[in-house]
Amino acid sequence: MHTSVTDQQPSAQAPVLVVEDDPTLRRIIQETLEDEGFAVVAAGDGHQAVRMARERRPGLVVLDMALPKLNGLGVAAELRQAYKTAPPILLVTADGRAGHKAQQVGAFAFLPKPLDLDEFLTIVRRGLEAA
Amino acid sequence: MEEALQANADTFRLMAESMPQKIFTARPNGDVDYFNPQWTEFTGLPFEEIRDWGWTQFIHPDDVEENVRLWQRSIETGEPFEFEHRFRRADGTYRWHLSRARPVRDASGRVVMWVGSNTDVDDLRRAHEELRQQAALLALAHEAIIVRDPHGVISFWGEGAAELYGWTADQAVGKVTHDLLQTRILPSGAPGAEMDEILAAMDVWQGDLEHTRRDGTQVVVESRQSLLRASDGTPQAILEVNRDAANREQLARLHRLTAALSAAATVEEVAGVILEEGMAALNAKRGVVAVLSDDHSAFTNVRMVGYPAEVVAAWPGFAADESVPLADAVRARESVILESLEERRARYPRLAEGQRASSLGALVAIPLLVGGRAIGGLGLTFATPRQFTPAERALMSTLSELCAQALERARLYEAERRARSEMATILGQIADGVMVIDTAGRTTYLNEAAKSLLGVDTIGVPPERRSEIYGILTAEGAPFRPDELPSMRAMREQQVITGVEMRIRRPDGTEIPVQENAAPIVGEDGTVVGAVATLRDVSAQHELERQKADFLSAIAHDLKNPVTVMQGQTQLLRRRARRGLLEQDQVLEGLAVIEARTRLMTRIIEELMDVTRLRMGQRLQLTPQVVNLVELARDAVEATRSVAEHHRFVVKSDEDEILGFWDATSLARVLGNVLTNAVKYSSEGSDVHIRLRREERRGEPFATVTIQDHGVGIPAADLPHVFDWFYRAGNVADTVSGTGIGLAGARGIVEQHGGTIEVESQEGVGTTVIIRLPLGAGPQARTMYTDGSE
Repeated sequence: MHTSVTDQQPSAQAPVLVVEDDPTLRRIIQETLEDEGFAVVAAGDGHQAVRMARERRPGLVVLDMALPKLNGLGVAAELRQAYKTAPPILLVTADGRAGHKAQQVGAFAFLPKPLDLDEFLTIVRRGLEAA
Repeated sequence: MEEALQANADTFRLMAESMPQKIFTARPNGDVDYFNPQWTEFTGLPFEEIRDWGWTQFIHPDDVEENVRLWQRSIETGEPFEFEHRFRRADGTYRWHLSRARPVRDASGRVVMWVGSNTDVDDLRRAHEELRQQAALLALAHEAIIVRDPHGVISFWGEGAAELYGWTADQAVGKVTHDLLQTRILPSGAPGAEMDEILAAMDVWQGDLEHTRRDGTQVVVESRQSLLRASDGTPQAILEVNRDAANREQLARLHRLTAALSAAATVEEVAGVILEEGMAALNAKRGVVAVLSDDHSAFTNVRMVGYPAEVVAAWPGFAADESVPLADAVRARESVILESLEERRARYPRLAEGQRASSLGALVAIPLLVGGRAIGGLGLTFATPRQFTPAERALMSTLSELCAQALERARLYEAERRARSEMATILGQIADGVMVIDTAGRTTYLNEAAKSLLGVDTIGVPPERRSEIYGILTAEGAPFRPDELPSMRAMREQQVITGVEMRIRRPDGTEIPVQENAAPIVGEDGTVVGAVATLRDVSAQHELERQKADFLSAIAHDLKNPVTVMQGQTQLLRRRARRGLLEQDQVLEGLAVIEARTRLMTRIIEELMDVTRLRMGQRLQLTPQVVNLVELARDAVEATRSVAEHHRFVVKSDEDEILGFWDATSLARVLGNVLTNAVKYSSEGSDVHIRLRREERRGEPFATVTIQDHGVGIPAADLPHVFDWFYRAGNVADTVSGTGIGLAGARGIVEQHGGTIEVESQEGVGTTVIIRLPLGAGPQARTMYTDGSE
């Protein structure tokens, strides 16, 4: 069983950046993270994601692969350029070849769609701890 | 006296024993009282056994009776004896001999003894026999064949000689040719003896001679003479073949004809040549060549010469069972030769009636036979009655033979050429490359497709140099081992090799995937003489497979997205419920999300089913009913809004109701698809405008829906293809997931409603989709009433 909201104060840390073009899914992920006490910033396309990453210095990026304007690959590359130590990236994709893509973007983990939210949270926590 | 005689006899015997011939003497009563040793040597018996009449046992049974009769007659009459007969030699073989005996008389004229000789003429006789047989064969050629001995004495006088010179064989045999024919060598006019001298030295002589016929007229002949020698080299006979030089023209004509025929390629050309030359040679007035149909039921006149145009036009052919000379001749496989009008009247009264007097000469109908098979007929008519000489009849038969053979050849040639051209056409037109190689691996044939596929013509290039011109790689890109090439394997393994995937690197550097099949070519003797290979450019197939893979992956993506939302929303609701944090409006909101995504998924699945039907050329199952398009559009916008929370949708309509007779479900799918595209390809927060109105186009009322976004737009180059199946615009293919079926399916649905769908777009500005649906009960709408399809 996962920990409750009050056990941790993750919101004091750097926010989680959620990059997802489907607004509904983005909202669901955001609310799930917020329910667990994470600070969340969200972006709907690649350019917005890069901008937000610069502005908000996220501790972890939940990155969808297929994005308008700049896809996940491009976002990851921009992030690596922008940071000395880029935030860990959790890749979320409906593509079956996610493992290969995760390697491409230098992600620490990947999750295939549809997401299991429990698993998702576990990995997010692990990512943040490692960082 | 007795002594003198005895001394004479001794001298004689001494002489006889030293001569090569067989010599004998006999008493006046015919008893043989002396044989020289050559005799006893020949028979292998001592004198005692063959003396008196004992020699008769050595005469051939067929000759003995006549021999004895003639011998007895000579003894009775005292006339010289001469007979050609066969004597049995010691080894049992019979040899021809010329036996002669002359009486020796005393002063009173009384026969006191007979002296005889037997000369072996077997070699000579055999030579003459052979010549006679050859001559008999040659007689068919209507040449004057003469066989004479080295002294010019004629032993054979052929039919042709009799015809040419006017003397019968009985009259000529035994005469000396140069005397009989007063031979003069042309052009010098030298006597025939000079020719014989050359013959004796050279064994052959050829040239022109002047001969005098029995009737005193002169004839110039082209003569070929050969001297035949016995095994010991003694001249034995001369074969003389003479041909009326006047016939040279005819011969030249035949040669010309043969040459012309070999150049004539078509049945019509062959018929034309035969008629032209044949009619000139025989002085015929009209000629026709008719060819028998394959089923032997009818003749087609392939060429008519000398007939008035109206006859040619009115007589294209005739039935095989008709009673006309040509049909009769072909049926009987025998020429019909009617030398006069009377004969024609007698045999073909009906035909003769209608004919004009000018055409009423002789008539000849000759069957054209190839290997006993009738293929048509040659007909000739003459201006006057004619009696055909054997030479003319022979010419006719030669003509018909040549004609038949040439026609058959032309027919086969035409058939083969047709087959070849058909084959060339087929090979030229098939899209697959066809390649023939010989056992050395050298390319001997490439069709056009193969040349363009390889990017080069490699006919004649040896296999070891082929790799310098173009590359053959395995499907994985490694060089193909030459002996593993399908064509080489087909020859080696003597079996058909199919479906070998390879890549061809053309001289210009481009590379295409190719599938090759190869089969061995087996010669008549069963050995492999080469291989034929077909090369198929499978780029399109590979592209299609790639498209399929992309499509499936896009479908999976498109289906996973709503599932992801539904699962996420469900899990979020459950997590909150467990914590007791769930409020009722959150539940309703979450359920609405799940419901909206369920609808979206249903739409995607229905679009997929549309694709399947439309791609198979089937029409969609539409169930038209009265639909308010304004309401339908608002519903579609609401459904889209629920999956596009940050877009602004602006719906404008002149009226609250635009009613039409449409299939609501499929139209909702179209609107949903276009709206989803508008959202998908535009930024969050941007507007999507939906406008509905009535329109009149070409006098027909239409309902028009315009959906406009301010998104990425479609590049101009991609615009013409947006309705192609699986097509995705270049500016979104990598960033936005999609199947490339939405608009193609939408168009299928709209068009089946009798409507149109158009896309206007500018890259970076936005896209407008205009859908027009017929409002009136147009033809499509009307037919949809009845069965829902058409």
